[in-house]
Parts: sequence; C-alpha cells; structure tokens
Amino acid sequence: MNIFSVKSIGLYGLAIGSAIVFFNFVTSYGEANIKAPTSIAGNYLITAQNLPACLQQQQLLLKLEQSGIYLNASLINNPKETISDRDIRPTLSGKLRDRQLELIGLLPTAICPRSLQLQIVGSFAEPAKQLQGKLWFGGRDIDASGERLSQRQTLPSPAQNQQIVPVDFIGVLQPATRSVPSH
Amino acid sequence: MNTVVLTLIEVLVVIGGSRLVGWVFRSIGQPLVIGEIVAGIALGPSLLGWLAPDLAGALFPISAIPILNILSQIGLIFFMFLIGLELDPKYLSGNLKTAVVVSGVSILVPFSLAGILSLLIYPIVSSASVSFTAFSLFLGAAMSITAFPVLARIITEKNLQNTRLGTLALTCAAVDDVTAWCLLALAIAVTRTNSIADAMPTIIYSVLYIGAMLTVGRWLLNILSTYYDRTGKLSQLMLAGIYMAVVASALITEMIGIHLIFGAFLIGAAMPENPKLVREVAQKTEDFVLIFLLPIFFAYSGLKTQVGLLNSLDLWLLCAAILGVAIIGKYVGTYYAARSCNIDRQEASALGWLMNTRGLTELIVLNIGLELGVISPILFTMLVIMALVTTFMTSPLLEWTYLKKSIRLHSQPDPAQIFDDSPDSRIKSGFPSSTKATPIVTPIVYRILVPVANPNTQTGLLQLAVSIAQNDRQPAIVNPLSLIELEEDYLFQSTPFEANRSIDRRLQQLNTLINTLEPVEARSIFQPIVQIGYDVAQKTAVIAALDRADLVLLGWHRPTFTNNRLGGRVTQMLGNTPADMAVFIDANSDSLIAKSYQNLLVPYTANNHDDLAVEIALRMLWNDRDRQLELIQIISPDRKDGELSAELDSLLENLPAEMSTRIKISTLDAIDPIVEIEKISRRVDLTIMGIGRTWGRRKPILDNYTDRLAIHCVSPLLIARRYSQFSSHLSFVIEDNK
Repeated sequence: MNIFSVKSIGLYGLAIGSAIVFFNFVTSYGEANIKAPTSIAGNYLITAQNLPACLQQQQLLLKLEQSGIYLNASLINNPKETISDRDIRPTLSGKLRDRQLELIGLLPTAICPRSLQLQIVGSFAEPAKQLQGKLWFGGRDIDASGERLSQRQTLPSPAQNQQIVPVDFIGVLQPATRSVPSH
Repeated sequence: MNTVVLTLIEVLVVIGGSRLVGWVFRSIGQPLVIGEIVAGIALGPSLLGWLAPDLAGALFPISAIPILNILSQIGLIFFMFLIGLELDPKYLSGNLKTAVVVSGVSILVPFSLAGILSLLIYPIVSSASVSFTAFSLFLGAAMSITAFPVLARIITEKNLQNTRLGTLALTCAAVDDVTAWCLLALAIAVTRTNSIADAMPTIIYSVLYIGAMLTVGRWLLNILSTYYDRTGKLSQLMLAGIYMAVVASALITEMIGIHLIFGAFLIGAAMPENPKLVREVAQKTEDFVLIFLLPIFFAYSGLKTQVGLLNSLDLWLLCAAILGVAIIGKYVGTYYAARSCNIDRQEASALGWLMNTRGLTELIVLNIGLELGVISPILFTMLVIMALVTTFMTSPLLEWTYLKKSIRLHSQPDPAQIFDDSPDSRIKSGFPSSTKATPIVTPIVYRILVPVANPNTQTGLLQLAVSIAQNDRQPAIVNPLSLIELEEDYLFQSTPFEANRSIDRRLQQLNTLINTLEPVEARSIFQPIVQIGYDVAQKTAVIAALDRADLVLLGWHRPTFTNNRLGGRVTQMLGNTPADMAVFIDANSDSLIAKSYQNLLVPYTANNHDDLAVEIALRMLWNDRDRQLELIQIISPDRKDGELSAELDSLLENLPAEMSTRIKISTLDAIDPIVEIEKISRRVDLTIMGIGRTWGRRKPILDNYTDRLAIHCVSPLLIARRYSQFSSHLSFVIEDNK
C-alpha cells in the first residue's frame, strides 16, 4: 500500500478525523460540565487582632500557592524584608472545598521563637480578592482577613497598613477601605 | 551579595552538580541527560531546599531566579536550534509508511486517553483561570511526546541505528517530534487566547511563517551553504549571521503568539542538506549550549519542581494514574500499530518502550505549561516525575524485551557469513539485517577476538593473532573489535548518522591495518567488529560470550613499573570476560613491526593457566613448521610441582613426530628462576606464561612471581588466563589423534 494512495490517505484522514471529533466532544463536555476551583493563588496581606506577641507590630503576608483543590502556603512576617530575596518554602498545606479553604501546618521558628501549630480556616467570595476566616495559633483562635495583592502591587508601609485595614477583627471581617487592583 | 557574583556561583554549582550526577547516571547505563535533570531537581526545593533550606535560600534567592530564567531561555533557544539541525530528513527515508501509522497511533492513543484523564483531574489540579480545552491540549501534548534527541542517543548507544527496529524508531520519533511541536504550538495559542476560535489568527500566522521558513528561509540558507562550500570554512561572520537568524526567528514566533523555541527550531530544521556545514555549525554551538546553558535550564526547572508538594497518598495515587496513562497510552498505541504493520511481537514491544522516551522534550513542554499557568505546580511535579520515569525505564525495558541476543544478532555480522569471502562480509559490521539471523556457529571454527584500541598501533597484535589462529586444519576467524566511545552522549557526533560515520571511518582504519598483514591470504580471516560502546570491558565480555570466542587477545604496552603489571581495563577484562584470554605485552619493541615469532618459550609452573600457555604455544607450533618451542618446567623450593598435567603430558606424547622434534622440554630447579628465565628470554621471540596460580583467588592482581617475570622478561610476553574448562585451542590435533 503506497503511503500516498487514496486508501492510505483516507485511512489517515479517518484516524485523525476521529481523534479530532473525539477531542471536540471531550472538550465541549468538559467546558460545559467540568468546573475547576476558583483561582485563589496569590499573596494576601493578613490583618488580625490579638496576635501572639511575636507577631504584633509586624506585617503578615499569606503566600498562597494553588494546584486545583490543593493548597500550599507560607505565612511571612515583615514581607518587605524577606519576600524579595528569600525563597519561602510552604509550611502550610490544605485543601479547597467549594469556597472554603483549610490550611494546617507550623509557624516557622524564624517568625516566632517557639514553633506554633497554625491552622487557617477561611472562605472567600467570587472573585477571590479577599479571604476571611480564623487563624488558630497554638489553641487561640483569632478572626482575620486577607487582602489579595496584585502581582505588581507593593506592600504598604506599616503606617499605611494601619490606616487601610480595619482594626476591629472580632466578628465579621471588614472589607478593605481602598480598591485593590485586580490580579 | 552582588547579583552577578551570586549568579556566577550558582552557575558553578549547577554545572558541577549536573556533570557529577550525569556521570553517576552514565555509569549505570542511563542517558547523561537524565542525570542532569535529576541534578537540577536536587538543587531545588525537592532536595537541597528540604535538607538545607537556609543554604538553598542563600544560593538560589528569588531575586536571582530571573537571571537564571534568562540564561535558561537562551539555552533553550539554541538547544531547540540544535534539535532542528539534527532533524535530518534522511530519518524519514526508512519504513515511512509503517512509521506514519505507528507514530500517528502512538500520538492519538495517549492524546485521547489524556483527554479522558483531563475530565477527571481538571477539577482536582487545575483552576478556573485555565480553560478546559487548553488544559486538555497541554496534558495531551505532554502525554504523547517522544523525545527524539534522547531516543536517538539510546539507539546509537545500543548499536541499533542500522537495524529495522532502530530505523523505524528513529523515523517514528522524528514524525512524533514534529507532530508534538505542532500540538504544543496549538496548545500555547489556545492557552493564550483561551479558545480555539480566538487562536485561529495565531494558527494561521504560524502556518504562514513555517511556509515562509521552508521556502524563502531555506532559499536564503542555501545561499549561505553555497558560500560555505566555496570558501570551505565557517567564518565567525557567517556564524554570527546564523545566530542572528535564530534569535530573530525566535522573536517572530514569540510575537506571533506561539513561543520562542519554535522559531529557533525552524531555523535548524530549515538548514540545507549540507552535512559539512550542519556538522560545523552544530559542533561550534553545542559545547557552550550543552555544557553551560542547558544545565541552567535543568536547574531552573528543578527550582520549580517541588516533590514535597506530593504530601499525601491521594496525590501519589494521582501521580501513579498520570504515569500509568502516559506509559500505557504510548506503549499500547505503538505496540498494536506496529503489530498491524506486521512487525513481530518482540520488535513491536521494544518500539513501544522506545517511544515512551520523553526526557528533555517533555521538560521543555512542561516548563512552557507552567510559565503560562496552564499547568499547576503539583501537576508540573507529577509530569516531571512521569518524564523521568518513562525515560529512565527505556534502556532496561529495551534490554528486557528485546533480548541482548537479539540486539547482538541485529548489530553484528551475520554468523552465516562466516565463510563468505566477499569483501563486504569482512569489512562490514553492525549493518542491518531485516530478518533475524539464526546463529550458525560451526564448532570447528576457531575464533579470536582482538580488542583494538588504536588501529594505528596494533599491527603486532593482529600479526600475533594470525600466528595463533591460522592453520591448515581448522578454519579460523579473527575479529578485531574496535569500540568507539562517545564521550558525551548528547553531542552531535552521537546522532545515529554521525555515529555511522565514525564507525565507517574506524572500519577503514582497521582495513588499512589488515591490508598490511602478512601473508596476504591471512587477511581473509579477519572480520572486524566496530560498535559504539561506553564500557569497553563490559562490552568486550558480552561480545566474547555471544561470539563464542575461543581466545580473547589483548594488547598491553603501557610502560608501567608498579606492583601490578596489568591495570585498568585490562584487569577489568581479565576479571569479567567469559573466555580464555591472553594479554600481549611488547614494551620494548615497536608494535608497528609485524613479527613471525619463530622461537617460543613457556616457563611452566603447573597450573591451569600455564596449561593454556602451553596449548597456545603448541597451536602456534603447528601453524608454522619452522617454529621451535622451549618448555621449561620450573621446580623451585617453594614450587615442587612443576610436573606437566596428565592431559598435557598425554597430548605431548601423542603429537606428530614432526612437531615433537621442535619441542625442547627441560627442567629448571632454582631458588630464583626469574634470573634464569630472563637469560633464556633474550634468545626467544615470544615468551608465553600463565597468569599465575593465585589469580582470581584474591583481588585481581598478578602474583609476585608473574609480575617479576613480566618486568624482567626481555622478549615480548603473552600472559594467558584460562577460563574455559575445555580446551579448544588444540581440538584439531585431538580429533586427529582419535
């Protein structure tokens, strides 16, 4: 059978056509029926009250990596000093279910002298610009919120931060008082 | 720390690490590139960052990553140019019909399975910012890739490049390669626009650009090629022009909306068919790219690979599922497509494993996917593991399914041609046999395998082989074995066509050498074997076993004066080769001069190695009626048993009278027989002795007696080491006596 015979070309066309039809079917079905979780990966500036002493007077940043429903994160203090030149390995891991996220891990000793068990439970509304929920530090639970920073957004200075983020962390989290550029 | 200084330190660590791990992987028979990829992963968070996070953070801070990224992108552009250069249309000349079917099915099956897998894993490992179509296309491209460059090296290394399996695999991989790049370009276009419809302009521009490159681009490059032929050299100006074209083409494809790498690849693929020009461009480019830039790409990939992210059983199960779909999809598709083209099971299976080689090409695709955000970090890690496993498994599975014997039968001269006196049968080796040959090994043929390191200095060794082999009673074959060691398995010289060129050149050298041997009729017993081989000792042992060599004759003329006369490879071969061996030491003479060895001496100390020495001497004696043998039974105070063995005694008694008259047997009873033997060795042409009774009982070194004799012996020396329990060297005499 010659490679360029009508029969051969017909067979190749049939094989390729079948694959394209199959692929079209799969992608059409996938686009219509299969939904992936909302993209929430990014850096969140955390605001919270009643933090442990070692975290007070510091900016806290939650660096959140997402692979679908799997989340990995690290909590970074004084991010302006550290995030620019140090690779921060995730110390928290967890999952995303619907719009609820849960992260469990340790707070590194580099942040607090004593390694603390840390759990973050939060939720978000679409689009995911803000997280709201609770932090558990070694048995203490603290209401907190996280404001998502855009990739090019610089971190506000602590003074600015005090102005931007609501101080009242007990109960319902407060929305940010300034617009956050979209991610 | 200054960023430039830090980057240079990073480069130092990366190159050193990649060379070290690459060497370790080479030594276990894996492609160098696998070791380099692993080295890159080891420098990232998966190992260094896990073991020493502070060191990893200091060595690879985030601020330095963009510089590594730029270097790795430049490396990738020029590496893709090299891949394009390698993609010779000649690869498409063999079995094209079968190759089109096999490669088509081997892409369609894993691609379709990846589509189904996408339905399951998209909601688990992707996010809503990635469209399902783009995710599915990328996963399909990742699953259906075959890495042509790595596959080509594996095929060369296994000496399969001229077999039906090898040529078919190369053609399939070349077709796969082109298809996979087209698929990737489509996936990138769809990802960037988020739908196939929006990607149409990009697709049309890409097709137009490819068309322009293959017409106008090739026409311009042809002018360059003509100019090169006229001047006969590749000037820096011409090379600068080519490099500028590579970068410009990369920029154009990036602007079109596919990726930088495609432009560079296209320039390589569009280079005219001018082997000299292509070779020179490749050789001038590859050293810096492969040694310096490519490891940086691996390190950059490694920094983004986080095995630690797979921190639960369900993630590892997901990884196993991806691996399973990738392997099964590729293997099953290839196997059944090959079977439908009447390829036998063994070859179809071997082809299935070969096509599973994903290696570096996969890594390129994955990095683009991660960069575009279409592949999440966890999926990236899983797919990197898949790429490593599928490439790592190729060599052992190939050995397992396509037995060593088959590899041998396809790559060695057909044993049925043993008595074929046509010049081709004597000079060719490793050339295709479209059907599997059944080995017809005639027991009466006496075979000597002669590993030849440098054909220009081995006249004496081959002449000695003639002296041992050729006689009027028994047909003999001498196989000079020359192994070509390719230093770097990723260089252009390691591509199948270039490897064949090296083999042809070495065959020519061997034939030139053989044509200097006397007598003229002796030249017909030579059948050179030339192969690609990395481990000479191991390869020699394998060939000696498969060739059923009666004797392996090895040259050794390094003027060392150490406790161990032998060393390095010679010792390795003596320890591993499953055949009788003889090591020829001719330190004082010019090995370029062929000798006839008329007067032989065997100092006999009664052990099985000495028996072999006597047998070789007797064979030589039979072969030339003018030869004389002096057999000295050494009886020293610590060596009371210099008596000839019963078998040897019986053999000597039954020798024809004409031969017996040429043997002088005497005894030497001396405290230090070395002094006496040294004196006697002055008047003989060749001393043949056993390797010593202690050989093999402890570490493989010569005992004191043998070593001293080797040092003091004035004549050329042949050290015999017995392996076979049954003597084959005098079988024709024994048969005669019966």
